[in-house]
Amino acid sequence: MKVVNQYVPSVDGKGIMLGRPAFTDDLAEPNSLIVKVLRSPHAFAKIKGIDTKAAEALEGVELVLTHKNVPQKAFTRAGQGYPEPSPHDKFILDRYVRYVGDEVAAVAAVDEKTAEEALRLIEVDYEVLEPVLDLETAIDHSSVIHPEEGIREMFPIGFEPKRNIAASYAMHVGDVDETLKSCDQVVRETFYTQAQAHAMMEPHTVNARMDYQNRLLIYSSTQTPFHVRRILSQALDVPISRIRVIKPRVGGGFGGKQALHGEMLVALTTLRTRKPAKMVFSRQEVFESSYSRHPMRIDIALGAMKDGTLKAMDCKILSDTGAYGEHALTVFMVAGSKVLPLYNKVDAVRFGGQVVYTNKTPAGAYRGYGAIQGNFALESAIDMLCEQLEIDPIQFRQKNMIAEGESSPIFEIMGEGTEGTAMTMETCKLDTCVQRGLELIDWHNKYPRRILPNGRIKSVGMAIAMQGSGIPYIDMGAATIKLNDDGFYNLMVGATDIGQGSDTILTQIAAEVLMTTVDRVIVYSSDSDLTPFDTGAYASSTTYVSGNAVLATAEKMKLMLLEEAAKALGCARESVRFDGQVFTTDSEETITLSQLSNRLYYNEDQQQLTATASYVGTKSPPPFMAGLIEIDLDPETGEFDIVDYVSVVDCGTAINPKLAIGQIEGGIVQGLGMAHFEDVKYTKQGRLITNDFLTYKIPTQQSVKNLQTEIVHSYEASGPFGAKSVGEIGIDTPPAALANAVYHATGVRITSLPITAEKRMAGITAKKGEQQS
Amino acid sequence: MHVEAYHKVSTLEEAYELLQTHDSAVLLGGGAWIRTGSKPIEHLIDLKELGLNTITETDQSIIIGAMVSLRDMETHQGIKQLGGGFLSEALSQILGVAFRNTATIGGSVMGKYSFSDVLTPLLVLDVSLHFYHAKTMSLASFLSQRGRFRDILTAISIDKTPCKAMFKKVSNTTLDFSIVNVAVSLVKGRHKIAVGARPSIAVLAESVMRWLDTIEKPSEMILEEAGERVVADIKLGSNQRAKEAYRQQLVKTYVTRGLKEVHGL
Amino acid sequence: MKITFMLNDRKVTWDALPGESLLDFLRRHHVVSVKKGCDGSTCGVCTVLMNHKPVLACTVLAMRCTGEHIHTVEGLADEVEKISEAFGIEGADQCGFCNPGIALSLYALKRENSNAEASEIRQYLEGHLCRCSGYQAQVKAALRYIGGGQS
Repeated sequence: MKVVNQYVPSVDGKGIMLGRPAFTDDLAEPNSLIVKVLRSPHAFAKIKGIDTKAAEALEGVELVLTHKNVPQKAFTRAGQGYPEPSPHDKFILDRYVRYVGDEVAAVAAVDEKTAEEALRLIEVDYEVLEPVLDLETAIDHSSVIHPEEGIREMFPIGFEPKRNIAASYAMHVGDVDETLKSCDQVVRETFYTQAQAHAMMEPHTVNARMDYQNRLLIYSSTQTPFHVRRILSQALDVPISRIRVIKPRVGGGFGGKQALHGEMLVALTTLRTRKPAKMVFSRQEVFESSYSRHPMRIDIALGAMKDGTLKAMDCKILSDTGAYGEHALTVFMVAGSKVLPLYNKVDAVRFGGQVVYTNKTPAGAYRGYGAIQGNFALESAIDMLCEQLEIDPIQFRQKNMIAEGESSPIFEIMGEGTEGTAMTMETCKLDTCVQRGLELIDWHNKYPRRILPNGRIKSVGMAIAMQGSGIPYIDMGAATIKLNDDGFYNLMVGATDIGQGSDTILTQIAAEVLMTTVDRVIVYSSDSDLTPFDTGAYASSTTYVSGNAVLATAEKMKLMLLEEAAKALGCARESVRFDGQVFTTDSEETITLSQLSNRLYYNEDQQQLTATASYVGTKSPPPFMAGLIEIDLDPETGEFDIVDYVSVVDCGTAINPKLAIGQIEGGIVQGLGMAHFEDVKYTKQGRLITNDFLTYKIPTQQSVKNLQTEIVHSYEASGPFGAKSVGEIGIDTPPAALANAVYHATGVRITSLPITAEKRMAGITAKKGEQQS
Repeated sequence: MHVEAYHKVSTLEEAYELLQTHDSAVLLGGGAWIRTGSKPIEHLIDLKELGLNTITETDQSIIIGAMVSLRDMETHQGIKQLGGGFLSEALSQILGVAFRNTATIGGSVMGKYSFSDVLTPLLVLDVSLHFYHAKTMSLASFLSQRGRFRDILTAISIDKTPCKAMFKKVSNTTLDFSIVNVAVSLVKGRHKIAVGARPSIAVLAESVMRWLDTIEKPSEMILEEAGERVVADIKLGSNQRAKEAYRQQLVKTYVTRGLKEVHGL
Repeated sequence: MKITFMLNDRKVTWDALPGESLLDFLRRHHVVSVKKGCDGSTCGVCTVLMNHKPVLACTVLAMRCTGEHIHTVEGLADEVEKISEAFGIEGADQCGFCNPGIALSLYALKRENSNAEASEIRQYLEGHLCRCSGYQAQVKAALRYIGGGQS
């Protein structure tokens, strides 16, 4: 392969570094109205009265929106396939406010200062209600978070709003209780994970204007432009044909932009005022009023025989979706469906639980999407089980983990909100990943710990993980390739580059098929008027789903070119060869692509060559990985340095190896942040304390100084050029790998994230106390 | 940030007059934290043009103008010599380079920030503060004063007497505020121990310092006891960054380690 | 109030508000390479050079820039292209929102320390948060740029 699996720099890296206008706010109309939101100071309250007269009277204020003057039609902000598996439980503005930071009213004014002044002039009379702030007491709490009429599920997802349940689910294979009883060893543990913040560098940003055809034109920093168009149309009762959504360059998403955040209010402002309007979330709003990861309580039981055969897995989850149920069911299900199949040889497995509402910042999609939570519990529990069995945790994994050619019944039972799809692992190099990982970190010389002369302890820990590659029969991608005069191409994709490099790798795929170089393929993503449909950047779908669409489109274009070349050369298509630049007949007559293109547009048989193809997956081949960490811990303070993090990944063919490694390493460091210090704290009244970068820390240049990342040889026949996904898998292993390493160092098993130095020290101190008493 | 009137002053007298005339006037040093306040500022007095941005050295001391940036302090050759470079090291751990290019020593001192990683290491040196009107005073006595100090800091001076010193910042990431920070120094047999981000403002552990000064050649056991005494002596508390118990553990450990380091143990 | 300063080596006189940050001021005047990430001195995204030193544009008042030299990536295109080449080779580009700021800091670092090693690069760049990359490729790219194109 000449372009795929080769070194190719990002197609857009230079322009962006040079500061060319690329991001949503760079493209706002300079005279846009500024939209600002009045946000709830209460975790739960009913708006008894709201007086906007003074705000409306203020000079420069163009519009004030409250629940009284916006459409009252429930929708979900979640950018997901339609009908959505998330409950329609959100109104543009509502009489209830359900978390500190929820939207009370919006103001559009000529400048920021006026908008802020107007917000201060709005008088709200709240009936403060008792909030539900603990996921464990949410079900059947005396406070019902969604008592309102008009909310609904699109299809059965176990939605019981009167009980504060957004979704629920249960499945089982075999008889788990009986199997556990028959096991030689059973481990039971409860794990807690926190509401990690996405903390993408570009805040949520949107602007809107009416275009010269009197249509609503929206620029949005979104991962899902086509879902944005659909949801706006439905909630605002505007024909979908009257809306155009452009996704410019997006400054990171990680799932946090897989939803509508400012779009509704900005669109409504422009529709009402006919003037351009914009909204840029403040960093506090990003933390408080967008999305976070679903916190979970995970109860897990594993049963095994003395010989190290894992027999049963039982996993019960309580997930906290916060004030609104976006991605509630699907994230929860992935905590099982992309975790439990790692150990596919068990006799019995059970998974189930509820997703509850609380009066906190809503949870939503976030890289890993449940798998990181489930992985932390399962891969910690596996180590605990091995400890009890006195079996080496590596050998245990090697014996019980999924392998190539195998399957798991879970794939067929569990999809995302619906039934799943049966599939066999055509590629699964997990064994190689583990083996290579052990070598790279020098496991056998380092496991489990070494006590250094200065008292510090070095230890290692590991975990394995899997993810998916899109959602079968739901995630759809399409591409269009247009031939231009002189023989260069435009590649139009609905796939959404949010910084992960999809524009680059999709260009590579097209260039490879068309046997040309990336500079001859000009990519454009995503614009609901100009690019074909794509469900968006989520569920690790772009390389596999959109990549396959690009592959099919490029193949189609190649056939069209051969057809036209044959016409021009006066022979049958079968007798024409093409090397990317020159068409040659069996009789060695030639025409160059450039000549052919110019002929097509200027001279003879004039016509535009355009190819379009779509792809929808029929399975979701999982990428796999082994993650191994070495830490250097100070037992007198609980602090540690991360010495090394080794990732060995089976993602099929890496279309762009360096960008793929960037995805993995970015995931690892984000996962490490969640694993050991990204902490989310609320006041007793339910106000988020960790709502800026001073209080919520994310990893820095100095946090992890050594990452070793390798991609193993693997070829997934159903993927484009053998590729599977790589966007999410990196984030899954750090919590469990770290928890296992900390256990190896100290004997302290920490079951709640983040595993902070303070928790580690408390564990060490408690352990000392036990030993002395 | 909303500012009603911005005053770029050209003399200290002008700045002082404004400060005395307007009760709500605010002096602008580096401006690093000025926007964290939500109240509008009626009068903002910019000290930038007063030439307070130089570092000078005499045989006895280093004199640092109030408008010198933390980054210029950090990279100053003379300051790198103090206490084996511990002060430069401490400064290098404050947010990023770009932040330190803006934040000034004057703002860091006058702000009396409880989270400060500047005040703790300065406390274990001999530091004098020079004001436009008020008499020169030691940093420790300035920090112990309550209420607003309506004067203009023009410079701080640091005694250059050779010493051994150590600073430790405990934090989740290098860009984080300290969970707690500890500084220890030994000058001609005299000990200084400071603890900051307790979470309240940095203080010296005076009684432990005096006790240690009386002991000739303290043993490791004595230094361990000193760590415990500091925990008993100064007030540590809980906040969202850490609970009191963890702060106690950290202070005990790092005071002892710091003392061992300065004693070469 | 009008202020006059040097922007990318050209004298400009623009209108500034008393409490306005250099960040808001520049973006209001369509210098959009300077991005707003946190508006609170904590993320490094809005870094510009003031008299050749990196500062956070959100933390500097526009009024304070009278007579000063401000550089953004628009004014250092040749050097930024070199940095961008290095980023491209090392696969260090992801969303790029933080890249103009990082490029300016790297340029300043090379001026201050033309032999900077990985640890010095990490320390110099630590004020630049990046949620995409894991930082490792950035450090490799920085080494390549400082080494004059060699890794």
